[in-house]
Order: sequence, then structure tokens, then C-alpha cells
Amino acid sequence: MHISEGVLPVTTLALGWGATACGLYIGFRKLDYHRMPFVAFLSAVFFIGSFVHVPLGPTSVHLVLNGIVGMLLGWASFPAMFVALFIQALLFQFGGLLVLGVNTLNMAAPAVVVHYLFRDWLRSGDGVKFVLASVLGASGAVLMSAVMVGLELMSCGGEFRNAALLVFAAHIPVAVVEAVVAFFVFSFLRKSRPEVLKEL
Amino acid sequence: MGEIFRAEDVYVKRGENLVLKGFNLAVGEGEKLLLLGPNGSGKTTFFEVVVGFVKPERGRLLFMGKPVEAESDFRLLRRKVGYVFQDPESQILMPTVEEEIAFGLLNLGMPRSKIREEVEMVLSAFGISHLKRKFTHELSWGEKRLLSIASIAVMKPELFLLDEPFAGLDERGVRIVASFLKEYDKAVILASHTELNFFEDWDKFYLRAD
Amino acid sequence: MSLDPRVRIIAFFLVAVSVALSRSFSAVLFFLPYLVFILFLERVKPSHFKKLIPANLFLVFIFLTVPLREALLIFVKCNLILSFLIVLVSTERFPVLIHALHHLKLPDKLVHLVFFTYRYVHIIDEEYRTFMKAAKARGFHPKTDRITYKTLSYILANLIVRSYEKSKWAYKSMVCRGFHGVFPLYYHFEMGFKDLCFLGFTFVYVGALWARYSGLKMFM
Repeated sequence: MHISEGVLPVTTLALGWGATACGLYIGFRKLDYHRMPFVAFLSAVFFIGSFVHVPLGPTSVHLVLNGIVGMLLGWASFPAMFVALFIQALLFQFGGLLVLGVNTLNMAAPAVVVHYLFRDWLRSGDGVKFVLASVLGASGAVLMSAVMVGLELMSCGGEFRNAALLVFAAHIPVAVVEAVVAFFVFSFLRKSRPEVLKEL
Repeated sequence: MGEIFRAEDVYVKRGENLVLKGFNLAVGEGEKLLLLGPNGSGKTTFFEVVVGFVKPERGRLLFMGKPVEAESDFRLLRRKVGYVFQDPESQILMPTVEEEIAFGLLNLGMPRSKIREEVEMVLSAFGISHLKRKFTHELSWGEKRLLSIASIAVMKPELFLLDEPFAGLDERGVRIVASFLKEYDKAVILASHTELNFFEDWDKFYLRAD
Repeated sequence: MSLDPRVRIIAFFLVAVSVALSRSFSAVLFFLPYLVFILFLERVKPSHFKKLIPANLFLVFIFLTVPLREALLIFVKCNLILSFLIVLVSTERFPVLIHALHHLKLPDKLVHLVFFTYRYVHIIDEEYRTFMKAAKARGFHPKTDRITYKTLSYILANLIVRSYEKSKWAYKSMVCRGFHGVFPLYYHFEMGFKDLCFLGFTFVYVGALWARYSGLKMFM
């Protein structure tokens, strides 16, 4: 979920940019040129994920993918997601340029967290650990993002409490869908292309 | 006539399979060669060996008389060897046609005004001047193919490697590429799985699959 | 009017930040004449403003939960900032903008990644569509069941596998064409008289607003 322009106070915007700048610095320092095309491709997958609609009962949700793509990218999540959100802001006016710092932080910080929490389990031969890693990693990242969006809205003042709760609630079904999708995606990768997971 | 490239007794493994077994090939200055063989016979692998993406188990490579072994040798070699991939989609890097063609020349450090001229020339040689400002993702398959060849041709390589360059090209495209290659004054190796009747006078080299 | 893309980006950030900082309707509405002025200069097609719709979907949350006056101010600010983005920035060709950002000293690697990602978004988009067509041609009908989730996930997994394979070749393509760690730039710009005039006008306009609301006081 991208926060729109004009909502957050300037201090929150500035803090978001500051944190994202640190993430970008670390991400780019760790990113060698030979991995650049792969990161760009996964950034593109993350981008297209927001257009993939998964039916859910009478409605549908679109994928967030910050956990699924993030577990594969680690610190490179910051550059990858920053660039994807940047292009979305320019081409489709999703989010915006001033909130880009905050929006990147919301997507990429949870991605880095789940990458380090679950990458060993994701690579392990143990089936239970593998399933737990895909399910918890994907849904955990989405829920963490939702909490961050909520907290940022609260920074606008007390009257935004309900907005924050509403946004968080809206993310719960998304987290469930992502967990199921992650299970199938990683099972597929583990069976047919294990080298993608090995290089984490 | 001087020799440009020679491969001596090259063995290459891909996973468990030996793809090339005691492979020998030599190309002289300005020589044109057709590398023929069915799918899986090692044509692409051979090209990857030439530019150093795949390291042979055994054997020796010589470029302009000097052995090529270390990564630094290959880096020098790649400035003079042009390689057109089988899949233009994964070769094209830049968002617009003119930038894509300029990419190699900018890396070689050619002055910008000269690059502009070269880009114009190669665009008209391949009959795609009208695409100059287009986005690469807007091109048809055949146009992407022409662009991927033009963006290597513009670097004027001493040795020009092309992997199935006619796949997916229409008649006009085939004619443009064929006449360009015939008139190209440096060495060319063209890999194909079918015999090509408009290159009758070129030397042929057969690879076998097993 | 053809403006230097660097000037467009600087002007956008000047006005957008000022709007974002404003806490009163009068300060925000101060920028409407400026928007009209650019609209007049640029002759932007009205269809460009259709892109404002998705941004406003998020604001539904705000309208549902926040006092109306506050929500209305957010609504105006959001749409004003995005309108500036549309008329000043998004009307320029994308590769030109990225070149401009590089000339404004954005780091090499970042510019490089934007270029690649922009191209690969189109590749992945096309592959996704092709996979969906292939699935539908074989009777795939999305609904909430196991087979739908499995199919969509496998399409996604295939996109990741393709990414992995194509990225290997993309790096080879860079290396084959003499790439040595410096991103080559093709477009260069020159700032002309009208660019300077436009930039000067923007500075004066924004400065006038800041003076009128005596600097930072308007934000408190």
C-alpha cells in the first residue's frame, strides 16, 4: 500500500528519506555490477506484482511481494524497491516523489528483516522449516509494512488512529494470500531451480 | 593473411556432459566461416568459450597470435570481438534504440560527436533509421534482432560472432543482414542450424550432436 | 514548451515541497495560479489527469476516518502535488529524465539500476501477459480455489526463473560491449535563456509565498 502525497507531516517524510538513504547506501555498497541485472529483474517482478490480482471471495487483492522478493534480495531490497516505486510514481502517479522515502522504507525494511530471519530455513533441506520460512517470511513482511504505515499515519495526530487501524486491517487478508502464494512459489523454485535459492 | 583467432584441442563440460571434444578451429583476417550443427551441438558454447564466459577443461585459445588465458586477456579480447546473442531480448540493455547502439561506443571511450555519426551510419546501414528514438520495448521481434546486430556492428569488431542471427527475421531483414556480413571486411563466424544458401562461398565447419 | 529536464525536476521539488509544508488552505491555493500558468505553457492533454484516480483511492481511508476539514486539505495537497508531477515531470520522456537525474549528481549505480529496471518492467509485463493468455487458452478461470492460487504462483515463480536466466545473459551483454563499471551517458543538455527565466520565475513565486507567510510560521 503506497501512502499518497500530502498526507504525512514533513518530519515523517524527512525521517523516511533519511532511513531510506541509509538503506540505499548499504544496499548499493553490497551490490556488485554482476548482480545488477538480477536485482533489476526482481525489481521489475516486484513492480508487476502490484498489477497481479488474486481473487479472494467476492473481491480480489493485489500482491505486495515485498516478503517474497525481499527474501531473495536482502539489502538489495532497498535499491530494488526504491527504483520500482520511483518508476511507478513517475509513470502512474502511485505514491509520489516526496513520500518515496517513506514508501520505500515501508516495503524494504521488512524485506531485509525477513531475509536475515528466514534465509537459512529457506535453503535448508528440512521441509517443515522451509514451509515455515516461506509462509512466515511473506506474511510477516506484509504485516510489518502495515504496522509501519499505521505508525506513520499516527504521526499526523491522534485523529488518524482509526485510519491507521483501518489500513492495518485491510492488510490482513493480503498477508494470508501472500503466505499461500509464497508457499507455492518457493516450492516451485526449490524443486525446479534450486540454484536461485542457493545464491541468497 | 594473418590469423585472428585459433582454438586448439578444446574440451568443454556443461554439467556432466562433454559438449566440445577436442575442438579445433582457426579464422584468418577477413575470413568468413559458417558454423553449422543441430541444436545442442555446442555452437553457443563455443562462442561463450571465445569470449571467456565458459572456461574449457582443456585446450588453448589464441587471439591475434597471443594466448588468451587470464581474465585480463579476455577483457582485452572482448574489446575486439563482437558477439551477437541468440536471444536479442537479453542482449538489449537500454530503453531507447539510439542509446542501445551508443552503449558499446561510450564504453570504448569514443568522443560523443563521433558516436552520433556512427549511430546514424549503422542505423541507415541496417535500414532502421526511423526507429532511432523509439523505445526498445516497442520494437517487433525482427526489429529487436536487427538492433542487436547493429549495436555490435557499430563497434567494428575484428572478429564478429553471430548466433542464429536470422531466426525470426523477415525476408527484408535477412537480405539486409546477409549483405552487410558479405561486405564486412573483417572476420565473421556465423552459427546456424540450417544451411544458408546465400553464403555459398563461405567456408563451412560442421559440429555434431551426440 | 521544451524546457531543460533538469529545470523541470528542480522546479517540481521547489513547489512540491512548499505545498507539502503548507498547513492552511490559503497557502495551498496560492499555487493554483502557478499550475494554471504551466498548464498554459505546456498544453498538457486533459487525459493525463486520469492518473490522479488511483492516488485518490488511498484517500478514501482518510475521508472515512479523519475530520472533514483535515481530509479536504489532504485531498487538495495530494492532487496539487501530483498535478505538478504530471505537468512538470511526467510529460518528459523517461530516459531523458533519468539522464537529467544523473546530471543532477544522482549516483551512477542508482541511475544504472533505473535504466535496467525500466526496460525489464516491460519484459516481465509482456511475459506475465503471455503466461496468463497461455493459462486462459487452456481453460484457466481465476476464482478463490487451490488451482487458481497454484497457477498464479507458478506463473510468478516462472517470472523469477526467467529473471534469473536472462540476468545472466544481460551481464554478459554488458561485459561483451566493454562495460567497465562506469555508466555511459548519451544525452547531454544545455540550459538556455528560457530555462533560466522559468527557473527564476519559480524561485520568485515560491519565495513570495514564503515571505507572505513569514517563513516557517505558516507550517506550525
